[in-house]
Amino acid sequence: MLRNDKRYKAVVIGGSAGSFSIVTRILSKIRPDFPLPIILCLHRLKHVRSGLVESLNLKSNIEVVEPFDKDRIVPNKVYLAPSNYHMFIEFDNSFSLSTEIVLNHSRPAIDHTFSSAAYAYRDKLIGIILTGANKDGAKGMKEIAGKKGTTIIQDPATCEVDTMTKSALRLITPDKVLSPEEIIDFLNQLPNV
Amino acid sequence: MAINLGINDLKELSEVLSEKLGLDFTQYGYSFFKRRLSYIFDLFNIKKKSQFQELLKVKEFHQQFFYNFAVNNTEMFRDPGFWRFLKTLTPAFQTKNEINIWFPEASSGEEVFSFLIYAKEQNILEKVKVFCNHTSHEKLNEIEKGILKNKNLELNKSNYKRFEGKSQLENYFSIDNTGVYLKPELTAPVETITHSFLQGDTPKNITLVIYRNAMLNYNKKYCTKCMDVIYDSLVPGGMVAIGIKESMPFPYNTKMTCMNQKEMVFKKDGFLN
Repeated sequence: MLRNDKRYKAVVIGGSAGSFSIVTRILSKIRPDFPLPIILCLHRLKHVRSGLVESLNLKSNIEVVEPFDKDRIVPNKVYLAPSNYHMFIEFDNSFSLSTEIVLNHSRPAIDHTFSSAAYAYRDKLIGIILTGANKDGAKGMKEIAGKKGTTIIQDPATCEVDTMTKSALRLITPDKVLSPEEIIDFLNQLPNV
Repeated sequence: MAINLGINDLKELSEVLSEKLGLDFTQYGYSFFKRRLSYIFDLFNIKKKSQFQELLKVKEFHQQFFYNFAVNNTEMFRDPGFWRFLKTLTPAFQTKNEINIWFPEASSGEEVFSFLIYAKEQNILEKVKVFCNHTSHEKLNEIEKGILKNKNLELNKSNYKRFEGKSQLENYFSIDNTGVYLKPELTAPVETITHSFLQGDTPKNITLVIYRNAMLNYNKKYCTKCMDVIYDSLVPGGMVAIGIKESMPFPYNTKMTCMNQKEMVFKKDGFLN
């Protein structure tokens, strides 16, 4: 059961095909004093190192950065998984990056980011899976659900490609299935920590 | 995953491994250590910690462990911008009679092979000596023989194109029914050292250390220890390249000059001569 008064520690968002415009919308409407870190794992071209973070920053109400390995995670900041690295969350609330083998044809892989976040934040995590063209993220969402984190899946009817959301729906019954606007409303009503 | 390893399991196993293998396994990042052990447990069908501890009593297993624990999946000319930046250093290399290059953790051949191709194209291969450290005999044997295990040919070719190489990548390899091999004239300068670079003798008078993405696996304190050894190996004006998403540990972030912030290449004080 979703509890709006729960003291969350972080939000993780995963997406692939079509997710960039949804993430841009979310970040352009998120309240500037949003109290949590937002950790983004989006499938991206591995040889294009720059451009994405700059584009997101143009519209975002909160600063977007690509973390370096071992950077500490702080509230009110958006972190974008760097190109060609997996991104993990450690127990000490820091990032670790890796060049290990691709997972679900992806590096960064959403499953890796989500699973490690589930272990680090347990029930104080919100996991959101958006539109995308492969099954990456489904197992990660299952891990988040297993640790009693809050799970939100973008309504497949609103997805540009619904493979990712439907794969997650096959593995879990999420706390919420929401349209992009409803995801924004949900995030904006979260209480300050 | 055959077994779900918790924090206490990992702590215990890092201590057991340190004792049995004579290397400090307690300094790895938590999630990295967990993933690599889980991979090994799956690979050898290990269902229990006690089964693993039994295997560690078998000397032959140690080499299999070293071989598989390392991250061996990378690509040739990963981060083409870094390899293009190396070309700007060629004039400085050309003035030297001998150029010593060191890969302190040559976990797979791709970085070494990329360097050898770069050196060939820049006409400095004859002056170059390339030292490679690793704890696995087999891994080093593969590098010496120029064996390209991960055949991501299309990706490698696309990176090579971005490196703006002078030829076609496939011209540097021979392919037969046993595998893909870097041509022997390119692997001639390679000298392998079978132990951790943090133990025993290390190469000295190094012009350039290529140590990209290895510190990702360690905790902060240990990264400084790695850099202590690497810094000592460098000649004045010598350089070290780390991964583009790694931070140079303190005090080396202030002690060395960053030559290229995007490609993370740092220089020790002094002039190359």
